[in-house]
Amino acid sequence: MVKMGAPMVELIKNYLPMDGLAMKTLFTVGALLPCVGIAILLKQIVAKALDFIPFFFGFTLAASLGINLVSATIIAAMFAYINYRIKMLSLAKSAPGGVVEFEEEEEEDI
Amino acid sequence: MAKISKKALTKAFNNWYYGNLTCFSQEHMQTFGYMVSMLPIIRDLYADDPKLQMCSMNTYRTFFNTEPQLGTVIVGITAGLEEARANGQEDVDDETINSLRAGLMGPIAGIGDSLVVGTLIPILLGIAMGMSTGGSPIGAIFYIIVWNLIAYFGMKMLFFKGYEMGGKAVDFLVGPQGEALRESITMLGGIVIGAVAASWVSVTTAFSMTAEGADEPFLVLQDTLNNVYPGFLTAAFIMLCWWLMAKKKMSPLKVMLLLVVIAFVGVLIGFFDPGLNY
Repeated sequence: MVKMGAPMVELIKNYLPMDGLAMKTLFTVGALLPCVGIAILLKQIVAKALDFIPFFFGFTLAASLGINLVSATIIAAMFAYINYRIKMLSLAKSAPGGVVEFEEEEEEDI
Repeated sequence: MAKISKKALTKAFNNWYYGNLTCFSQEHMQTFGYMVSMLPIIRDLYADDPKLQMCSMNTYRTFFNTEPQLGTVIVGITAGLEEARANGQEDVDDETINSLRAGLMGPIAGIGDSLVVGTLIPILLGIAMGMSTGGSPIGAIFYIIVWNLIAYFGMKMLFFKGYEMGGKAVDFLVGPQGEALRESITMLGGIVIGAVAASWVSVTTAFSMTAEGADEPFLVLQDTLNNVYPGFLTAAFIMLCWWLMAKKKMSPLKVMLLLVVIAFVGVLIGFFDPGLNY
């Protein structure tokens, strides 16, 4: 292809125009394929229908509010932290006398 | 009391450093890289029992993908957990290890991609490009050396930190507190994955309807959908893929092929149009 040079490129451009079916399909597939990757991740996290709520919460943060990833992570960490504290409180309640220590609350400090 | 030898740990780290994308495919991603990294550790821990080695390797067969540099910490943590399991900690099982991995890889990928790929690398490249002005090779050499130094020592530190934490954090992780922590991390992961999906995956339609004789289309489907819920199509396609794989038990490869068919039909009827030109 290097040998043939510019005429070859012209030829390819003629046969595979960007607004032709082949290229359009390829680019569309390129846009669709990442969905599979996200779905594979989701498969591991979602066990019941309610587990979709965090996912769509994050989706809404980024898509509708335009929040970037680092900020979304921090917001998510806050919710995770609240969730953790609530769980710990209910644990402390169900174990009378035993005060549960808060040793390590987030994986953020790694 | 089994303890992973320093040599095996270093070998595991090197395997991860060089091989985290071993046999990378869309279906398995870093799974094999993870396994090749765990191999020296498992060989070391269960040196005299090939059957246990096999059982343990099986744990790491599940899908794994994260940001390779920051993700080193997850490998370190599982090394610590594996050691605890070898020492007979009953409550460290496949599920503990895998739910921890699955819960951590999303957030770490989100943080890592924006910090390492999105911030550190562009900064380094920016400096390097400044050095290379006028055709000097110093910039390229600078980038190669500095990036590798930062990546190697940073990852090494993360790996051993993770290993120490994994060992110590086991008691904490497997109890009811651990349950709460895992649930919280999974929640964090879910939110971050949602944000990742919305920022990086973009499925849009070019479908529009124009009344006869009118200049402006009366229906631009993408705008209408955006008014309903921004990113509606992206979310819909992700849900479709999830439903096919989780509920219909389709393999990722088949789902991808189906997407190719959908793309082809969509382009034919004018639903999809990337709108590109030479």
